[in-house]
Amino acid sequence: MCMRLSVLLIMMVGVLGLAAAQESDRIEVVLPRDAIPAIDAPEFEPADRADRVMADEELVIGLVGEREQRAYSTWQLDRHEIVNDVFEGRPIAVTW
Amino acid sequence: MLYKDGLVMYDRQTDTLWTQVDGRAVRGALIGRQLEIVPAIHATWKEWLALYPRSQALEKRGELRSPYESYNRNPRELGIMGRRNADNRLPGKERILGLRVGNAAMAFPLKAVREARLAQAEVGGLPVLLVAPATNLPVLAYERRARSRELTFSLETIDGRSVLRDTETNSTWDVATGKATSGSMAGAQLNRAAAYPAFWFGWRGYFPSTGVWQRAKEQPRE
Repeated sequence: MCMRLSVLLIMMVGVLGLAAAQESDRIEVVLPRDAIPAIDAPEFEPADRADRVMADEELVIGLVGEREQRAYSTWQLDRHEIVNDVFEGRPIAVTW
Repeated sequence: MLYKDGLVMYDRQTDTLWTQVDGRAVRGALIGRQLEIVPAIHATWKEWLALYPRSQALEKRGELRSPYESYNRNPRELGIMGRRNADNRLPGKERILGLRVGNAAMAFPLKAVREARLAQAEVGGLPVLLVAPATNLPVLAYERRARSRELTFSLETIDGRSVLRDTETNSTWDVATGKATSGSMAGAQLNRAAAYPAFWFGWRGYFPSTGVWQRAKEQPRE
């Protein structure tokens, strides 16, 4: 429900940060914590099978690795916002 | 939770609050830290299938449609709080691919990139390109350097396929993978650049001094 701004990112816990940032902007509490449940144990299926429940115009976030390629539907992410995942050994959060 | 109209996330280990838009810790133990952005491809399902028909897809759990269809379509609805567009360089709901390098940010309007087919820029000292290889493929973003050389590209069609060629070494590059296929750079690889989609007003809210990529105007003919 927060995804009123359709911005997305994929990220991974990095190492160093910016110097003491000023973070004075307000944080607006719209919904209680975990009202939008993150996906913690994502399961995947082959694209040709997923095709039955995906629309042609559905936006996806696609990861391309050395051995694997994975697509995450943003329509699905609209209801979860975050997928905690591991891609080719790297811990990542796919967020929307 | 929202911060500047963007989602706020928390981590279960330290309870720090992180912005989704730029991966910064804004409250809590890790304040000031930065998450690393992983480059991804942003495409429609059909475009993705054209590139990677044998990929995997996150299994659905009944989410067949987006709950934001009408919001995404409505050009006047800016954010859950009802914002006004603070910067008229672009319409508020214009879809852009945003790229941030250090403190520099650049918005690439998707429509303009599709029209130009090739956008080359430098963001925070990083030479980058965005390319729209075909109408059935997504816009792809790469760093414009390989083997310690900065490169400048043109887009051409060989045997009906779009191919990148760099001016410096005359090598050709596969658009979908960023790999050099012929010339002295053969085998070299362009890194994907971590450009990600946003609505203009949201991107501008986080990065007020962002640049906006524009196609160079054609010189008047003499």
